[in-house]
Amino acid sequence: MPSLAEFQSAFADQLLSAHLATLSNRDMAAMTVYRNTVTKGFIDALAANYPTVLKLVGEEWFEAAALRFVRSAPATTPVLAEYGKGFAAFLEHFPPAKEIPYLCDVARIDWRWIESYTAPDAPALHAATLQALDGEQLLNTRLLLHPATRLCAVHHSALAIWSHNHASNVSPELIVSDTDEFGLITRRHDIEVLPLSSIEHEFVAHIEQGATLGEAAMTALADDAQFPLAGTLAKLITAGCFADL
Amino acid sequence: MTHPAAGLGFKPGHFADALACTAAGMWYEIHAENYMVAGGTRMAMLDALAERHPVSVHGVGLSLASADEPDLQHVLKLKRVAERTRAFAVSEHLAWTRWQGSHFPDLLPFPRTTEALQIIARNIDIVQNALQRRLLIENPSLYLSLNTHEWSETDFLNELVKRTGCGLLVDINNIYVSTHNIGGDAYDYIDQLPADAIGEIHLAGHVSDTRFDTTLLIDTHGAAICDEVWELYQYLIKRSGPRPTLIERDDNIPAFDELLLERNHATQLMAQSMSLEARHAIAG
Repeated sequence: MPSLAEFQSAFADQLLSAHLATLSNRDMAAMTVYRNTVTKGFIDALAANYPTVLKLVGEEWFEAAALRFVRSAPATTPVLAEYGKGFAAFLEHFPPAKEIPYLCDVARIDWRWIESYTAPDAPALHAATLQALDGEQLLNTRLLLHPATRLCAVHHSALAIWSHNHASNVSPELIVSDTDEFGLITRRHDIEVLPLSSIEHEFVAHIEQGATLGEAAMTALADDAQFPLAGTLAKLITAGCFADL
Repeated sequence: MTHPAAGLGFKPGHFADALACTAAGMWYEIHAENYMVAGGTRMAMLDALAERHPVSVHGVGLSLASADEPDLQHVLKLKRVAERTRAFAVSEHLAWTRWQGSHFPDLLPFPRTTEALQIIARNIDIVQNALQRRLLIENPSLYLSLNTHEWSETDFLNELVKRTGCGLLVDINNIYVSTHNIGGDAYDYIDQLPADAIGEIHLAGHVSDTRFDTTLLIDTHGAAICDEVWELYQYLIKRSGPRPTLIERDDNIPAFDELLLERNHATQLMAQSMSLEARHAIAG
């Protein structure tokens, strides 16, 4: 008689394999129930985490892609909100996705949205906190991004496409261009996506990497002598970009 | 908050209705893994729900019927969800979902051998020690006939209760589906359950699958509860007395009020099952 481990091993092999072993009619019916439930569970989880990709490509295309992905990367956690991190990278090498150049970047934004949605709660930085500092203290301050803040840098107008298609009550609309775009996902009450210029993106990225406000400002001013430091900081703080000091 | 009578599976889409519901004895069950995230709207909803209503925490990821030991990190996450919601019950399944680091979103079968019994009893011990509380174990819905069972499902459950002190979550629809698919009599099955160990009851709907020249009943949680399952439910609570009872619906989810009707029906049957004496005692 097989041990429990041997039984599990043989059964698990049958769950996601493309071809099912020859079985009696009744066993075939039973294995099909388990296989369908597993496949549907994974595809539904992926669809929940990549709603904008699903909306852009439609159910049939999504299911075919998801099934390939699931077979190559079954979940390593029972928490399905964490399932599918590698889907954007998978789409990059999925031949049918070649015709949809913005799709991988849309998938990356979907994933960052989910990360922001489930990130820890923490108080956001208020402008008054920075206003209480003197000039030197302000320049030496190292801000931390709020745990729910995510930066995006994408190609092919993926952020505009994502924004048009993410809200479920808006019909799909495509903007085809090769524009690079930058954005900031933040969570105050609801999750918001704030478009950024490339210099603003670089400014936040420097802070994320541990630069002081003074160092990040110097880099931005070197790129653009007119960089509006105070206005940019105010905009980012209002959006809830930073964690309280 | 009142003593939990009949409850509903919590759906975020029903949040406002669920929160506002004032039916006596109302409670909600949550799927633990959906709330194993750090923060955000989902956790805020859970906190608000648990503030107003009793909550039962139902896990799907412990994989108690795996040959290896439960993932302690996962057990601790389950503990946090149970503590955060002040759960009146914590339950899991007599099934496996994990094999060598891969997790499958389904409750998978195993041969009920003495080896499996020892392993699962060990796994339940580990979880109960970490949770510092009793776990309720749910009977699975079965589709595959295995010829390597050494124990009947009810003997297996009785033995787990005896060895670990765990309780049972009796899913009536699973009994109905499994006895149809694999064989056996649902009433006999109920007769053989240790009534005192039953801490919660699940009721759900199923569908028939008629491909492959054989009719399998599939536990979809996607339809109304059928008459036969309601009759089995009455039979069980007549024997065990009323227990917190859940209307499980995870697919084709209707409006909250429609689910409330099924839930109220369960509450009526619970009241009918009690002796006049017990009803007076509860009414004070």
